[in-house]
Amino acid sequence: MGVQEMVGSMGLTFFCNKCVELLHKFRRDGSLTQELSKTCKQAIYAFASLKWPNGVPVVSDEKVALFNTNEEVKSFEQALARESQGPDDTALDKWISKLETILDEEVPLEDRKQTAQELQKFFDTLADCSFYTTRESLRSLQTMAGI
Amino acid sequence: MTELSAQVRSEAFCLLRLCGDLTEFIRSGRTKKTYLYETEGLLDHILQSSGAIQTFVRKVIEEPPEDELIKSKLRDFGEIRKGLSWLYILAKEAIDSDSLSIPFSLAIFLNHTAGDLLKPKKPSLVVLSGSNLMYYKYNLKAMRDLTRYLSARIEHYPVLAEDIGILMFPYCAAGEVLVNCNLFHEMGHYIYESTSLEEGFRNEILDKLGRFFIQTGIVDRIKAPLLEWKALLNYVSTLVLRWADEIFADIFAVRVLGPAFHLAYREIEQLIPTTVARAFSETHPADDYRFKVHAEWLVEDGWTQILQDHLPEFFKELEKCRDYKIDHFSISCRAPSHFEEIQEELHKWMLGEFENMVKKIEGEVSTKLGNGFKKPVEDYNRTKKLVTSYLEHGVVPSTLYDDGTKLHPYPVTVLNCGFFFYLKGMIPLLDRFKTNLNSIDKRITCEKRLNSWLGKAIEDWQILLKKGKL
Repeated sequence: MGVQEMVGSMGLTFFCNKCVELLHKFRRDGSLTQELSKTCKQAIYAFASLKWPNGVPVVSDEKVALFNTNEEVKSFEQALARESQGPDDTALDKWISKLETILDEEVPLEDRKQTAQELQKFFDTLADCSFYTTRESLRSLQTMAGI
Repeated sequence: MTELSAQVRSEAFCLLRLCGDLTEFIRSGRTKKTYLYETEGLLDHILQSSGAIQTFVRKVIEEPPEDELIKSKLRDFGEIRKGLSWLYILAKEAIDSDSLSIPFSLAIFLNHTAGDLLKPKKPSLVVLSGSNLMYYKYNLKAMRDLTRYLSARIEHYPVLAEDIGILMFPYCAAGEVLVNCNLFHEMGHYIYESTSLEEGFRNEILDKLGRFFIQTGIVDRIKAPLLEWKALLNYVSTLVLRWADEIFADIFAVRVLGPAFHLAYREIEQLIPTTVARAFSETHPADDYRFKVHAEWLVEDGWTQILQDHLPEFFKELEKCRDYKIDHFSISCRAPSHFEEIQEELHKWMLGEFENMVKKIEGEVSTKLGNGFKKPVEDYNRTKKLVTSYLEHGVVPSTLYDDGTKLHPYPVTVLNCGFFFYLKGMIPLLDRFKTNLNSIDKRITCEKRLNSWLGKAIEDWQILLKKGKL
């Protein structure tokens, strides 16, 4: 694993940690903060980007650079496997739809809180996967230098 | 207190201790030596980073996280510790790189050149001594990304400023001037970052590769799981973007320095004629492709006759590379396993696309160099005879007298004359140099002195520039 891959995975871990905290806060307070809304849109964009080259491109002002390395893609695959899901359109659509539910204020709050709990758990799992990916590689990668 | 929250606490204290040690190391190192302004800036960045981590960690100790968030806090700490491990390496390299331990005059000239090109921005190129016998660039994009991720989690964590670039040379080579011309290639990477090429190329690949798969029916032909397609996209874009970065740095260095860069590159890379030289690797375009590009720009910028006169054998080789077409090259990497059957088709497409990107890169380098870019060959032709004559007599070629007229050669002229002199013109100097040393040691001593004269000439030019005497 190179520097770029490792930093990518670290970024994914941090992003998921942030999602876990924001979703937890949402379950506690019940209010859709600007930060949570922005983060959910970023996650939707990132998940939809995994459908390339098929699927409808998601236009978002809140793009986030996730899944640009194959280590990040592998972590996502591992997280889906832990949820007993295959890496297919159905699984991606499921998580995208859950994120959209959080953003949809017409859905009853209790339902959204329930969805937030599921998402929190998924992001926790995804963060664990990418965290262990970076951990294993640290010993073999000592610098950020490249020729 | 649960077991995990105890772990958060002990990790927190460990991080505080590590940050404390780092801060102390930098403060104590700074009291003993002097550093260039740019290196001071980098050390300040590391201190601020360490300070922000300490504040963040103290807050976690004072306000422990709720049970459900303990794991995410532990993961944060783990990733911060990884970031810290890089800061440790960087701090050590920076503290070791005081003004006397780096190629001082070249470091200042690099900053001068970058400043000229990036006006009104004020670039800060930090030249550090590395522990390998190799020239490096710090992966600035990865470093900046990391600092962005950290700043999103840690309040007041500083994002590595856009103006900071980090270039590295082998630590024993502080006294070298000629081979350190390789730093101009590393500087090219830094300039590349200031363009929007990478973002544009990334989007282009995403779009074009998708269309290529659909038009050729590959999408229907290959039955690969969903995420494998994304993995293939990453494979293609990672390789092509790395090559683009490298070729930009090469073109930039060749245009700014002329043959001095090409020759410096040949000093550090042992090259053996082989077909491997025509394979693009995971990180770099093929050597022969790079030489083809070098040759094209050396010709374009007017160095043909000079090379032919001074180094006919190098010239012949470059001419040969110029004739290569893109289909003479291959890629030595393997596509993800589901796509083995289309690998050849895909690699051909990648090389074709890369060639289109090179045209854009060439345009962008010219834009960066600006309309007022004076080809270095002009100053070279004006002063080369005198510079060479001064070197033959062991005189620093900073102020030249031509029939009573004072001339100050541009540092790039000094470097090119120095290289030609070192490769083909040292006999007159060796004849004049009276010593008891044997011929090998005599040559080595003269080479060392040559490097120090060249370094001094570059330093003098900068002093004269600062005093408005040029």
